[in-house]
Amino acid sequence: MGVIHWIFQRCSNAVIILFGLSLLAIVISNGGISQDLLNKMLATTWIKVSLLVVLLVAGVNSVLAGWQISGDYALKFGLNHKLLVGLITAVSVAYVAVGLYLLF
Amino acid sequence: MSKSSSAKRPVNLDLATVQFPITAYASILHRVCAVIIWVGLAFMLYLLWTTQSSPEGYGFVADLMQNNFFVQFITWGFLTALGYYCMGGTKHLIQELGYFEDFEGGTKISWAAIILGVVLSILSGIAVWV
Repeated sequence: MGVIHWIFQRCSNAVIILFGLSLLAIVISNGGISQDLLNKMLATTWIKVSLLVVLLVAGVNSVLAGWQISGDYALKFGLNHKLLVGLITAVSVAYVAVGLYLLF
Repeated sequence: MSKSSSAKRPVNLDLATVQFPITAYASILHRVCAVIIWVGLAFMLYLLWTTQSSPEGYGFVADLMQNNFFVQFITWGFLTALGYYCMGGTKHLIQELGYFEDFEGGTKISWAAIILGVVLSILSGIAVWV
């Protein structure tokens, strides 16, 4: 299972990096994002599908990363690891839900 | 080993007294940026939600982005974190493919990731404020 986690994290990192760099390129080259540009992007099927993939992959990635990071620091700061993971999972699911609503 | 020498042996490294190499700073920064992005996403989704809700909502966000330093600063911080996260993540993936794995190579690629992160941060600042 650990190997599957590792492979998923590396693949999802590659997807998130590609998306992040694309987003930065759009923001920097346009000096921000206008509503027209945003509407055009959301009306384009391949961009919508790409955003959906990034959203789902980033959601799972953040739960895994949260589990790892909280595992490293929960004990040190006297926090409950399971509670932290639960909180991180709930917030990540909420992010994905809001993202899906905005997309569709 | 005698009992007395065992008792004096340090259990953990005191990280506050250890001078980190640049590779450690690059790694810590990557993790910190991931947390900033995750927390900042709530604010960014709120802005996006408001932007898409109505023309008035878009006008409200546009006004914030042009005139509110706090919102501009958070946006710049988010973009800076995203930029370094991408650079640090790329460094990580390159190293896992077997390149720049020794300390000398790791130092070089860590500096490259940090410098490129700073460049992206400056460009993001220009996009937000100029």
